[in-house]
Amino acid sequence: MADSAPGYVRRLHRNIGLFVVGFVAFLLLMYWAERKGLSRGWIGPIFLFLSVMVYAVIGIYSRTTDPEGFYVAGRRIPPMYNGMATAADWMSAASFISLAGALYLQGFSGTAAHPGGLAYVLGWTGGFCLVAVLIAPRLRAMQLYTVPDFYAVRFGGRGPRLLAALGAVACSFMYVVAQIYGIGLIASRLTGVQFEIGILLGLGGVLLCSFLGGMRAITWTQVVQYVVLLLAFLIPVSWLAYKQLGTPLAPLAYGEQLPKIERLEQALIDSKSEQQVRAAYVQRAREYEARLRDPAAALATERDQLDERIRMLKAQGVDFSLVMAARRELAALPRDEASARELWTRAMNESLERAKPLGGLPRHGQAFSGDPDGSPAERAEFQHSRLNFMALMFCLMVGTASLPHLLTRFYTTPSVADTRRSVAWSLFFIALLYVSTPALAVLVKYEIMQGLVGSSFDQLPHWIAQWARVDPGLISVQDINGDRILQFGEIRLGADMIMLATPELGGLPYVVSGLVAAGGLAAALSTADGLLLTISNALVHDAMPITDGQVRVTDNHVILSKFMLLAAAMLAATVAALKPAEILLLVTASFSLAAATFFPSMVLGLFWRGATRRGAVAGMLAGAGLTLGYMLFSAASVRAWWGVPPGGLWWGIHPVSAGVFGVPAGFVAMGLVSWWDGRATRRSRAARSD
Amino acid sequence: MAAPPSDPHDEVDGGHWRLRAALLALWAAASFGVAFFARDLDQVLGGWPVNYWLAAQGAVLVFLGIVGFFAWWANRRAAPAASAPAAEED
Repeated sequence: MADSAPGYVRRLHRNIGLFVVGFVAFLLLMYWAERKGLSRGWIGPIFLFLSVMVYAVIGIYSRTTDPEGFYVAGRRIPPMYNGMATAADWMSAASFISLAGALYLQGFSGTAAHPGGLAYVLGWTGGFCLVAVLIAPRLRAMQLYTVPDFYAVRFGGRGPRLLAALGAVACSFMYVVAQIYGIGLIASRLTGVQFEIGILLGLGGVLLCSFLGGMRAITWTQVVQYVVLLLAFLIPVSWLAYKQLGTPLAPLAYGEQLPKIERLEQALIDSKSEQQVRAAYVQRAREYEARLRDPAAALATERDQLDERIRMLKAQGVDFSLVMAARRELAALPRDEASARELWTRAMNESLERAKPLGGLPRHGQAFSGDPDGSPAERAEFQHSRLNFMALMFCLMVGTASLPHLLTRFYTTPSVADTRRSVAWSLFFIALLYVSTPALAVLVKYEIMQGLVGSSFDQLPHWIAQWARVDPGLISVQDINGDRILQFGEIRLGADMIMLATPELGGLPYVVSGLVAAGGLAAALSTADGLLLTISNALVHDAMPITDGQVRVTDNHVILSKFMLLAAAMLAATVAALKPAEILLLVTASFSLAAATFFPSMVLGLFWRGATRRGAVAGMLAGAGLTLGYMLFSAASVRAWWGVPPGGLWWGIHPVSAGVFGVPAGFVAMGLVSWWDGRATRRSRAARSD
Repeated sequence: MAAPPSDPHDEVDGGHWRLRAALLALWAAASFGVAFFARDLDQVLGGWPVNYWLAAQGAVLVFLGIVGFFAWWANRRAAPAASAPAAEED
């Protein structure tokens, strides 16, 4: 036990303390070097390589082949450090990179069609109440190694455990793809290399660490990564708050910016030039609508016009680059009628969205869209918006209490009491960051509305062009109404870049940009580590049969697990290189799936002795089946692929919040089947005693 | 719902049923309750819009209180039963 080995704990305190001091000294050194003229081209790569090297060195230093060390870090991590590791494990690329951006774009609650905003803050912290009060201490008491082990020990047989392993792989894989996408995004911005090479660079660090040392190495890297990501978050927030409010304590002071933003929003809505931009978007939407009436003819006209222009340009003998630009435009035209229809429909919808006030963003402080006292349509929109907000929050909370990579983190403490303490520490370390995130979103919004809007197009800050080069979907700035002045409606920001661009936006030194990117990398790497370990353990350890109701681990499992981990990482990197949906959407979907698969069977299994094996199987199948089915049945892209018109939502619930239906379905199915089994057993027992 | 005392897990994590229920009720009120009435809480108090502060920060602090209090309470009750030396570091 950690308490009985004060020397061990003291050594830990000393090592972590030394790291923090060294890290701060390194930051000051870099700041000094930048002032002395170190080029920006060097700062990014230095941050990237040094941080990945530190993680790799910790991985090598704590390498292990001992099964107890590989799976549960020897169950000797003190609660506070376990809390730090859990916080890093928990805060993924979605929390660090996308959350501030989502709060910026969605304000309080998002809209009925895109719920979000503070639902993420509430969901990702509130779930820990369920973990602490219902799940973690009991799981820890059972001396398990993975979450599917619980199903083997509690229900026996192979079925429930294999199903749980399958569920763990499915939701962890969806989640890890999002992390690796984040790694690629940051690495390519930091070093200027291609997205795909960025992915490989970051992955090297993950693999060195988790491949060599399993849970033990992951735990200590996560502790270090927590320190990095906390500093990387708090330094720019405090700096920005100091600039705007005169105090670095952003979470305590940002309230006074909220009414100011409300006034700025009103001014923007009334502004003449903003209205011109909106009118231009309405015009654009009408053009797309006209084209969509006969896409084939519109496509042909478009092609002829471009051909004509290329011929003209060639005849005039102008600069070759102009001809090339026209050719590229021709090549970018949709290939056939179907893709033209899809592309133009999307463009029309986007133009319509941006023709709304504030470029389609809801007012920052307004809870839910619509109006409870307005017209019937407004009232319905209000109800939808509120319902979707609560559904999303529910899925995130219950998903928190079910995600296997999080729950295994609580197996590594020395005792059940330490597990309870560790959950509290985890939430404390997470809250340190989460109470500052809404502050950051507000400060950034004020900075953009007050500082950036109204500046001339000839002197736009150069970070805009740099980010647009990484991925044009992340930021686009266009002079729509042709007055050479930047309007709010002319800026479109992607959620994934707002946090990473914050230091440049606030005019902070470039070292802070490097630090923020290193923090985002730490968040993505730490979560990817935990997820990859969960996947490989599910595939190797949980696929093995168990004997006499006891879970054991052996050396063979460890070696197999290590290679499975490599394979899973490669596969996830391949999927991430295709740049699938946005990080937040992927992550939310995996929360829903985890909630519906694990939560009902785990809670009933832990607290109700009448729960049976067949009941658990039925509960998991019903929960996961309904959730996946609803997502596939109602997602707009899937429906378009099948050629079905959009719709098919139940009570207007967004597809990613499908867990709202899956969790109750799981409880009902498991309860009914278990009750039926119990009745059958009682009957046969009664028959025997007669 | 309470598991009978013969359940082996109850020796390490049993009881506190009323406390658990109360804490979960508080959790639901701080999250779903605040969200449901967010429009009605649209007032400014001490320079802060009440609904925004509650959802962005107040609820997180309540969650932290719930988790911290449960750990402290359950560990204090469990310490004599498990006859293990109680560690009082947090």
